[in-house]
Amino acid sequence: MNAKHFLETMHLIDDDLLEEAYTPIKRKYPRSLFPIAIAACICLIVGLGVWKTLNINRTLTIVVSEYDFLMELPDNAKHVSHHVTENDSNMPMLEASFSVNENDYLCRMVNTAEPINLADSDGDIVNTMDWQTQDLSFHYQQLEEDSFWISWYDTEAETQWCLSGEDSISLLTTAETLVQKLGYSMAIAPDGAKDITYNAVYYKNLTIGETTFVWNDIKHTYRISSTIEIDEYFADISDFHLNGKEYNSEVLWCPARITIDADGQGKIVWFDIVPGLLYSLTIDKNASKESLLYMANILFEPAQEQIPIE
Amino acid sequence: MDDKTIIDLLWSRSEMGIEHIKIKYDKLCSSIIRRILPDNRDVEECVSDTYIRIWNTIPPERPRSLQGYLAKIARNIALDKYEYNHAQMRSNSLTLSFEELEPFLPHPDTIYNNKFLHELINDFLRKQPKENRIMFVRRYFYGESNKAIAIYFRCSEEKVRITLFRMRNQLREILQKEGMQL
Repeated sequence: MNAKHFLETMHLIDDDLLEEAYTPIKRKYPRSLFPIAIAACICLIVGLGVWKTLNINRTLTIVVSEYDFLMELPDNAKHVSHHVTENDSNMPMLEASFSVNENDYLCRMVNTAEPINLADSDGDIVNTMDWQTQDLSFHYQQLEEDSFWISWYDTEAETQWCLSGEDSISLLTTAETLVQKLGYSMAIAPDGAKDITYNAVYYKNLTIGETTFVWNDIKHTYRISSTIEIDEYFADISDFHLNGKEYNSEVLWCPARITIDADGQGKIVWFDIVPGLLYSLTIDKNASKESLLYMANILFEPAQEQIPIE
Repeated sequence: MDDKTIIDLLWSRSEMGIEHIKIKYDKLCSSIIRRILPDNRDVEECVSDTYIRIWNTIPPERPRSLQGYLAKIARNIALDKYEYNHAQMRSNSLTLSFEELEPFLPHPDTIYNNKFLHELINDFLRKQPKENRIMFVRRYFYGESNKAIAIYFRCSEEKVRITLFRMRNQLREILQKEGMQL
């Protein structure tokens, strides 16, 4: 189809629909409509209950054998729709939209021998965060105000993934579900760790990726967030308040602060200034400067190499 | 002044009809044309041509929706001018919206009845929730950006993008069901 044909096709839209599209939205509704609105809400709630009871089947695994695409969506995904299109490099790309808990998502996958960018690039990037687990490398970015993307490349399957959503917390949570479906996790934990969980939390206006795990019977909480603030006294993202002396230290080249209280709880926070990444690690018992630094050095995978200082 | 009275004025060959169209719809015409032709001189010229075309076609036409009729004429004139100005180049917003929808519309070689396609597209749009329908028309007829639509609805760009994505898929399924080659 050429542009001319496309434009002709759009001219088939009726005049009244064109007028409707340009009519200003009435945002305030007359009071007389309220009972109808309430009745509609009740019908909706009842309808949803019936729908849930009936357990209507939904497509949660998308298979496009022609292109070797297999995409598993979260178990509670709704309104699933998908198609195969091409990315900017004319590679076949599976694109699926779905909702989870009223949040809308768009997931893309491309089979490729090397990582590529599948996120939209129309708009200014306001925030990025990179981290690695044993199996995958993740890249998170926020475009302007309300477009959030997370990408990861599966080296073993040679597949690039990308998920976008309307808010950072639900995006990271849903991404973790998708990553788990692939047999991985976004969590960062040492060998031998147990009870590993990954969460996304919002704290001090920052989006934070949080891993909790038990190692040597001690509960650890490890957090990462990106920031554009470069204050010398960088932010503490641990949300773990301790009454104890604070020590200055370093994790590799990053300035760090360690706090340990009388009960043996402790935390270390550090800041990698060039990528603008904040980190925190808290442990619930037997804390010492050495144990905190030891674990921080195991967990910390710098987003970029240290620049040699001459 | 309501649209019916304006049309009556035009039918009685009163130039006041055009004056009232200018007062009421000048901004609409300019914004439709500006999305296709960024140059102000082109916009002014096309707006004038739109009023001339309206004057020459009403009567005999008596459009059900003056606003929709005007929008189509303004868009057509702008596209003709655009084609004349840039045979090879395309407008950004319009091209983007076209590229989005292109894989979902029938192949030009497909033999189809225009009346049938007209009914199919309008039927598809009328069955959509109002908000979705408006998003579609604003994007693919008026060539508005996703951001502008998001501002209009006070929602996120992401929501607009995903809604349009789903609608394109639905439209494609319907066209395929009707045996149209895409």
